[in-house]
Formats: sequence, C-alpha cells, structure tokens
Amino acid sequence: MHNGPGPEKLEQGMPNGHQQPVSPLKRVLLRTLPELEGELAGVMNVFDPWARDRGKYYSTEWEPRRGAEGDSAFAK
Amino acid sequence: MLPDLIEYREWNKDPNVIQQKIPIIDTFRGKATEAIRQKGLANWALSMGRQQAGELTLQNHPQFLQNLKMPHLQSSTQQIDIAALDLLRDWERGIPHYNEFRRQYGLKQLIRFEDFIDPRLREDSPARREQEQLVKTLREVYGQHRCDESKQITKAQLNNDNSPINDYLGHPNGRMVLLFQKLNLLCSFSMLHADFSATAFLHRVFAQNFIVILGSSG
Repeated sequence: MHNGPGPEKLEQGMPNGHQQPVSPLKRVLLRTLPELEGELAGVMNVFDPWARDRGKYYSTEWEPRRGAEGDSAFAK
Repeated sequence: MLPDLIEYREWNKDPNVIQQKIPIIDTFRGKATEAIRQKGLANWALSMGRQQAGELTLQNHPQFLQNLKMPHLQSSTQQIDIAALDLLRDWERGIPHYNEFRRQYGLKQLIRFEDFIDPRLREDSPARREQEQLVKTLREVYGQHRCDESKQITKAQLNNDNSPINDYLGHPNGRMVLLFQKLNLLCSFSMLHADFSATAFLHRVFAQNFIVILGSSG
C-alpha cells in the first residue's frame, strides 16, 4: 500500500505483532498538523480514539493509554 | 455515532483536560470556517481524535439531528428530524420490516409490545425495568386507534367485493386496535430516542396506511 508522498514510512516497532506502514490519514495529519506529532506517536489507527489503550493486540476496552490516565473521558 | 457535544481540548495545554464542551451544531455549515479560525484545526483534530464515539444503543440518537434547522424548508418548523428521514429512506428502499427480517431468519415474530422484554430477566432487575419503560414509551408513541369505516384509506385498490378499503380492513366500526405494524420502526437504532416529535408523527401517518391489527381492547 502506498501510504503517501515519498518513500513508504513504517511505524516504529512491531504494532500488532508485525511491521506496519503509517496509515495514509495519519500521514496527512502529520504533514498538515505537525504539532500533533507527539499525540499521534502511539496511534496506529487514527479512527480509533487516540488516548485509548489498544492493549497488546487490539483490545476493545475503554481504558486510557499510558499518559492519559488523568483524562476525565475515561472516568468511570 | 455522533455525540451532541464535542469535548474540546487544546494541544498546547494539557490534552488530557477537556477545556469545554461545544455543541456540534455550533460547528458546521456556515459556522465551520469561523470555528476552525477561532480554535485552530489542530485543536479540533485533537478533540475529535480523542473523543469516544457514541454508543450504538437505544435512545442514543443525537438530539441536534432530530431538530436540525433547515431554513429553506417551507414548513412551520423549518427543521427536520434526520432519524425520521432515515426511516423513511429505508422504507422507500424496500428494507423489510423488523418482523419480516425475523421471519426470514427463521426467528419467532413479535406480536405484542411486551415481546420486546427479555423474559429471562429477573422481575426486579434494572435491565428489565429499562425495557419495560421502553415498551411503555412505545405504547405512548404508537398508541391505539379507533376503527372508522367511513374513512377510505386508499384509492389505489379496492376490496374483492369492489368496496373501498376503509379504516380498518373489515373490523367492526368503532373497535379499538393497537398500532403494532412496522416493528422495524420500533426497533430501529435511530428510533428510540428522547424526542419523538416528528418521528412519532411520521410513524402515525404510516401506521394509518400499513396497519396490521394484532390486538384489541374494545
């Protein structure tokens, strides 16, 4: 999958257990809104709430990722 | 599933903090450009990126879509109920009724409003109480209807004996019947929401024309 201008870019590490290209929308966001780079660093799927913990594989739980524990959206 | 409110955050402050809750209705159409200029696209992207989608459940249709202003409409309210419109579109596209779906899947069809209540739930369980409340609401929306032989409901067809098809289909004049057709409407995700106004009206109009009589009380 060609995921944007220039050479293919891959996510760091092995999210979901394998190498994964940076998704096209994430690349668009990084290009146009570079100030969100830190926020998007751990986000593989930008359609998935960014502060949600995906777990080791792909948890569907509504739990905060590390660093977002104080987010009131996760308050129970 | 759209929420009614966007939990607005700012990337250059603490993104974990919801700065304010902004109604979506104040951020689209002609207001979109102003919103982007005022708050910045990065903040909107961050806010929407971090927000949880609405739960796909009953009575969770966004209210702003049920009362959407449409100033160009030549109607008294000049607004539209998108939930009702979606139901209308479904009918026109030939989506089978809820009961027809069940029949095609080989499932038992529902014949009473109470069939929506899960009989396995304990009498005192909150889930059962919630379902009973929904059934009560459905009754209020759909209500009952008194048969009126004098009212012709269609000019497109006649009965076998060439008499006009009246309201309702040979039942005794004056009999009270439940409006229980169109179960797809009752169960549609977009239907069971807090504000029934236009939806209820549409359902009544259609129920008049597509009614099936399943019970009586008079």
